[in-house]
Amino acid sequence: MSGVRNTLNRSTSRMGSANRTSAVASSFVVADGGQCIGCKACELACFAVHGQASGIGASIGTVSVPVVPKVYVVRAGDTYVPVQCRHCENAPCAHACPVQAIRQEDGVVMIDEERCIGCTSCVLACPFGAIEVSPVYRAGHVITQSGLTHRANRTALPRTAASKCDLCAETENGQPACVEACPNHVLRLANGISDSPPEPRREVFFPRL
Amino acid sequence: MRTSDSTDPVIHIDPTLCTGCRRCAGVCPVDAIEGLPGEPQTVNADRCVICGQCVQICSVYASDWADSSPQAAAIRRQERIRERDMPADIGEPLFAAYYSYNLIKVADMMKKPGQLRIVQCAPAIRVSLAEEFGMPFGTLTPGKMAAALRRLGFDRVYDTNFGADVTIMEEGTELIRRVTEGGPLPMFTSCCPAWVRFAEIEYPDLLDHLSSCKSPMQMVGALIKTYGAQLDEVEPANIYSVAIMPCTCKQFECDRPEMESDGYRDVDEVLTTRELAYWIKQRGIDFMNLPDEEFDAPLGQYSGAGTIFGVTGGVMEAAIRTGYELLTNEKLPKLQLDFVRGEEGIRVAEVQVGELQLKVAVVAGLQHAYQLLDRVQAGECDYHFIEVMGCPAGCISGGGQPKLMLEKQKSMLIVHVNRPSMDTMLHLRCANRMRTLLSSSCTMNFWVSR
Repeated sequence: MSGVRNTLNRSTSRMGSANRTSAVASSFVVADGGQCIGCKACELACFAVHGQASGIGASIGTVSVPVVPKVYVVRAGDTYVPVQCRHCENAPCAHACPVQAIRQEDGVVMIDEERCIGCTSCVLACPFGAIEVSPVYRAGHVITQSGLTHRANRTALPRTAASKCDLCAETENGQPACVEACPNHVLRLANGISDSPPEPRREVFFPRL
Repeated sequence: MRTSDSTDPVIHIDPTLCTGCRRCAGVCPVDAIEGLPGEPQTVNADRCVICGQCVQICSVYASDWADSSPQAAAIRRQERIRERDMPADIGEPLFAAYYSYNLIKVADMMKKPGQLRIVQCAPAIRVSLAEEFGMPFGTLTPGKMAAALRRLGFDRVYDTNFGADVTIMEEGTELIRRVTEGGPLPMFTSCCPAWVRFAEIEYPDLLDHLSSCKSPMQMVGALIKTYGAQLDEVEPANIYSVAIMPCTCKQFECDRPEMESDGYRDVDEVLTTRELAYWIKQRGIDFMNLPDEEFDAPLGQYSGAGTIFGVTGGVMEAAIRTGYELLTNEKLPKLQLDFVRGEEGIRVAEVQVGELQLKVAVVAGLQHAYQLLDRVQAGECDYHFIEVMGCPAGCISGGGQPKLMLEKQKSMLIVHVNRPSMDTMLHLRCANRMRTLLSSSCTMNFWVSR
């Protein structure tokens, strides 16, 4: 671990708190390449802390919706690596969003899932593949989009929204859940001023697990 | 010795999900998980002691992203649920490591007419079941559990704590007999089926050191089809006996050929805590708003000593108290023996019992048993009594207990078994009363030959 702590205060709104006084500019979670064992404990921890508002408790038995994390473990050959938002200083996802659902506050790029229309513009714009568009669940049930129906069986289609790492801004202070959960200490919270050499450019396509 | 490969290996790893992270191999105390890093792992059924710790630690789940569409993901999920014999409407994520489920079989058997349906519940269930319904750690729900089991169709709801008291009584007596008359020492507890299987596989020459007592579950099972049958005036053949356990190895234990008396299985089927939660949810029972109900008497009564069986050092503490009183005819001055409690590792203590300096040890986690057993084999171990529990913090962290999502929650999982109040600590009186009650009515088979 680099010793860098997430000093973000608990946010008071969906878009993050305006009174963050000690935020580190462009903090993001980064993985040490080649050390990940592919256990997906980070994905599970991410889902667990972000789902607490939807009634997801400590036990797997309390989960009644698909696991939709904000960090994605991908595999290339024999190598696993967790991929998540780098909270870019000049966030291309925010530029691409047609409805201003993505904003940057105190160095943290946040998506307002209520405002998001699920157009995937941000997905295309993200250079890291850190954003996914997935169905929106509330209190254990999928939210449907009025007016949209499945072509074959006429059932209502789910409302979708973009989702990505928010540095656990909605949870208690401390390390992001993925960093805490990683059994191999592969993940660490880095600040914008790089404290490690840049990772070599990857030329391979990472299929999702 | 029975191996599990001929029938059901109980513990499985789904090769289509496993990413080969080998965290399961890291917690396996007997190196039964085999495979290369990054490749799907397999379970060596001949070595596996079925403790289920691999199931608890596995965090590789079936992700919807892995399929081409949500519809394809849903179809694949149903296929996996069918492969695993899980209830079709289960909502929770599916992990690579899992154990064999008996719920569908039990739910079908419950519909069979003309039988008395009896269930027993282990002490560790009432501490953890509420977690499956979103309640905080340690929420105690024995009353709601009894109520839920009645709504699931059981005619009698008994408590494995009763069997724990019988085990204490018998095991304490056996210890004193071995110490005073000379017998294989140290004597090991025999309550944990994973530990018994471990001893059979790794140290078969030390099996006569194991206590001859059955586990509390099997004790209650034997009682249900003898004394319980007399109470209800039914034929043992017409009793369907189910046990709710925190352990993935208990089904293996109840299937053992020696766990049968007069042609009847002591226990017919075992469900885990998680399976009971599935069942309650499947039947639409509003668990959290159930009224508290009592266990059925008399096989639902128990002392404080039975309650602490679910935690590390609990069997030891209870047995010492009983042994002390049997040997000295006096009460142990300090009833709570905290020095033998604790989590993973080996803890040792000495207790002055009359003129005897009783040396005891508690082992939590089978990986710690090797060094102790090597010393016993070498004749260098001068302990009198050793409790061995297969799981890190005893039954409370068993393989069938609720699976937690966050690593820090796993380490936070502390034992919430309530300390019994002083007046219920009079377990010996209770045990003697039970002995009189039982011996007057029928012959029981509380012992197992190995």
